[in-house]
Amino acid sequence: MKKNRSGETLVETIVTFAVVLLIVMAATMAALGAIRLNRRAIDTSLTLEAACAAVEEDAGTAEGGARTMTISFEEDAPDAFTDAAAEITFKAADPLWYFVPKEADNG
Amino acid sequence: MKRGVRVKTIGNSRGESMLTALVLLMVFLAVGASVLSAGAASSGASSARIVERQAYYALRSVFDTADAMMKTGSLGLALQNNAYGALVGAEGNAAAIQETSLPFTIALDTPVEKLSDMNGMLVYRGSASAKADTENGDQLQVYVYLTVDLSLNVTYMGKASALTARYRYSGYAVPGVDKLPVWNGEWTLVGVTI
Repeated sequence: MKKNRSGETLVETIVTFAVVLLIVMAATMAALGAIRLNRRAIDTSLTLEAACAAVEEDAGTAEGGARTMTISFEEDAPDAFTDAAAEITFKAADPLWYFVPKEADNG
Repeated sequence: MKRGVRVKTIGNSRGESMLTALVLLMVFLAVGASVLSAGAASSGASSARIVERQAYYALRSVFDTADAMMKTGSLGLALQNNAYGALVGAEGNAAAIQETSLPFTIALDTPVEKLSDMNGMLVYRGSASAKADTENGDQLQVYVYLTVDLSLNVTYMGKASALTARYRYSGYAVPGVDKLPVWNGEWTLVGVTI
């Protein structure tokens, strides 16, 4: 009877160690994952802030040739309102993009 | 008797450490899950912020271009010529330009991925009046005053952004070649509401 009880204590200890090991592993994985996600979020935020500053200062890199933005009115608009177009230049400030009017459109 | 006491003690503590370990497991798992979800939320928020900023700068880009078209391009000229035409078509030497709303769509010659639903509204009102410039041989001058609200809507990755800009125009025109008006005036951006 006494021998049996000692055996149970051993099993109990082994299970306890296993459970503690699981705790440590799970907690470590969760902490490492959280650290990795936080670091990525910080990196993204810093990159985004730099990109916003570049856009505000129009310091982006021009991409491709001239493009066009067109404003089209509905058919029943007064005769004076025909399609209005302007040449634009696309610029990139990773991860953002924007465009600026190249010059005043000629109508 | 002593042995009996020892056996009893062992019997009482049986499973206690396992139970404690299980409780600890639950607590640590809960803490780990909350830390992980906080990290995931932080990462998700930074991604959402990129979309939000991009939507804003897409709208700003459209506005900057429309602003140039209004101040020195064909959009402003269309409004001026429309007012001029209103006076020419009216009786007398003055015409009130009733508030008119003109919806429009905006397009780029090369579509941009994830950028959609670009449109807007032009709401204008004002007046036009004619008078003779006695210093220049009674040359007819048409004075135009306009107030224009330019609304723009842009959607980027499902994130809609909108703004309304108010402009005022004050200027005059003289008939030029083929009776086309030659303008002398200025558009002023009064304010922008996002």
